[in-house]
Amino acid sequence: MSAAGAATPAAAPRRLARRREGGTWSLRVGAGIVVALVLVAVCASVLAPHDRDAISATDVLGAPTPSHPLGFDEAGRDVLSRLLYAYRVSLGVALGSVGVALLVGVPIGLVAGFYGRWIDLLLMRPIDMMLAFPALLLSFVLIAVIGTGVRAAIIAIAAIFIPVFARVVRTAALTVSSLAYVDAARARGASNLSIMLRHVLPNAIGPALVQASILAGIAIQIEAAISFVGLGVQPPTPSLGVMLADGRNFLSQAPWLEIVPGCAIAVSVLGFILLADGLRGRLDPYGVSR
Amino acid sequence: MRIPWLFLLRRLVLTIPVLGAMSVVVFLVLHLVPGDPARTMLGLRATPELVEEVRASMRLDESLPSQYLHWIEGVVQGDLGRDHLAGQPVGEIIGGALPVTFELAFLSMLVALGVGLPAGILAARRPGRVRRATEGFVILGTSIPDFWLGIMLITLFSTALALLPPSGYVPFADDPIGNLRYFVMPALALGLGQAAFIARTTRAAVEDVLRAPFVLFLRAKGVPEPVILWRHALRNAAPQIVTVVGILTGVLLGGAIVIETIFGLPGLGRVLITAIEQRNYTVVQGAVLVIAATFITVNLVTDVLVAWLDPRVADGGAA
Repeated sequence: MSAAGAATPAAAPRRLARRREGGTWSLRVGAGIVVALVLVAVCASVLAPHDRDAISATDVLGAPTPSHPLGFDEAGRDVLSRLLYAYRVSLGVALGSVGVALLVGVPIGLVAGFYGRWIDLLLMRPIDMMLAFPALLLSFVLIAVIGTGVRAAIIAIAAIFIPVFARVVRTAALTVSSLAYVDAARARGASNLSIMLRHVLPNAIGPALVQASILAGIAIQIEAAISFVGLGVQPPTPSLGVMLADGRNFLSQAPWLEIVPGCAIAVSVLGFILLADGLRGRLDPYGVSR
Repeated sequence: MRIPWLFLLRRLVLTIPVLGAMSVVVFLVLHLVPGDPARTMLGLRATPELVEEVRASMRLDESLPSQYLHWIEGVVQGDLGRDHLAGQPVGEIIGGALPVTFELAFLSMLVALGVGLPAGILAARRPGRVRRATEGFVILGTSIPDFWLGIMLITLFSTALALLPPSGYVPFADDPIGNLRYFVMPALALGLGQAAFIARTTRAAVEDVLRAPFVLFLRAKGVPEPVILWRHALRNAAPQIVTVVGILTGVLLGGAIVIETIFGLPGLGRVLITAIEQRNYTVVQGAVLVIAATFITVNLVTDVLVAWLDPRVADGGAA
């Protein structure tokens, strides 16, 4: 709040108001983009104007036309239809990996932060160990062990996020556990489990949800990266990364094969980042997730 | 500024268990793969004699701890095992690839700092339009995948303008200019996204310092603005910036894996990806070990650097 202190007193409330307004703006735009993406992914089969796998030999690398607004790919398939299905796969991998990481990371962080001492040490040491690997490297190590494909990609990406959630929730749980209402619940005779689930978790989950939104965007990028080098989602299943890999060799003849999925990734990441920005003001007033 | 010896020593000692645990994880990677590692690696067409030979050299018949000790003994002496597919020591393969990855990471960091620092300082000094432009750049830099930016750079500078080679590599010692020409686009692709993070951190850190009471005092005393900025604000913002540089090194080392593939750079990332595709686990182990050890070392160096720049960190750490 030193920002307001430096400004004239009259400017302070205005600046605060503008900041809140900014939060609402990014929340609206971000949520709008994300909801639209999810709808597109869910309704891909209804929205797709053509069969995503239908091959048209005469249209190989064909330029965009009114009925095929994003053109054709190297096998003469409709790029728009493939893009919609690719969204479904990429978004599925992204949300799946964030979901898995939440399911594993949040309980670890919650228990570690709530009990502290040796339980904290026992749980958090392996988590810190995971942070000793550069993020993408950790994914590739896991892929080396479990192989490629959609499920492997979800696990490989989730592994990067587990330590993030565990740490964020642990920090929040540590703070919440020392508050008076937790003592009150304990005095009332509530069990540890019920205190954790009813009092600590709801108050510690906010920062994790803000992170989840950012990480969903990052997951889309990581899926694209590992599928691009051929170690993620495997063709013929379309994903944004697979589309980028497929179109790579036809860059000079059909640049839209690279531009379209790339922009699709950028827009989704943008949506999740804006959503996180907007959520931060509401779910994480103390800035734990920063 | 005194050198924080005690802190350095403490951090060094703390790094040893991290390296040890990391090596155990890397070692186990090979043994978590279902089936006989030797057979998985060599494929179905391998002769039984070859499989036996590899089994013997990896000591697969011994217990896991004894296998680990044998392996780590070699690693400590710089022997990362043998690539049974190419018949070459893994250390040699990695030794050849390491300079490429290091050069890429170094040049990308130069790009990140060269763009990010001025952008961050500018945004902190001039709120309003410049600041909003920087914020836009940060969001854009985060949203665009680095490897896609790489592809777009190739389209622009190689395909359309024919200014730079799309892919390939010559060693710096053979042809410095040619070497740098190969690295321009990969370094830009990898560095620009990181520049966004550097810009954001720099802006926040410099803004914080410029708001501090001592800066008000300096202004009142009539110290010129440039001196305040360069000698005081940046000096005090440095620890935060260095911390982010350390974190971003990890992102760079990971991102390099994909960028090297796009630009045909024969670095560690290429070695790793090819080895994973071929299920060549001794090479995977070696590459992962070296990349992770590099990251841990960089973290150690940045931590000590931060303690040197901000003695409060070292004192807090030693207490």
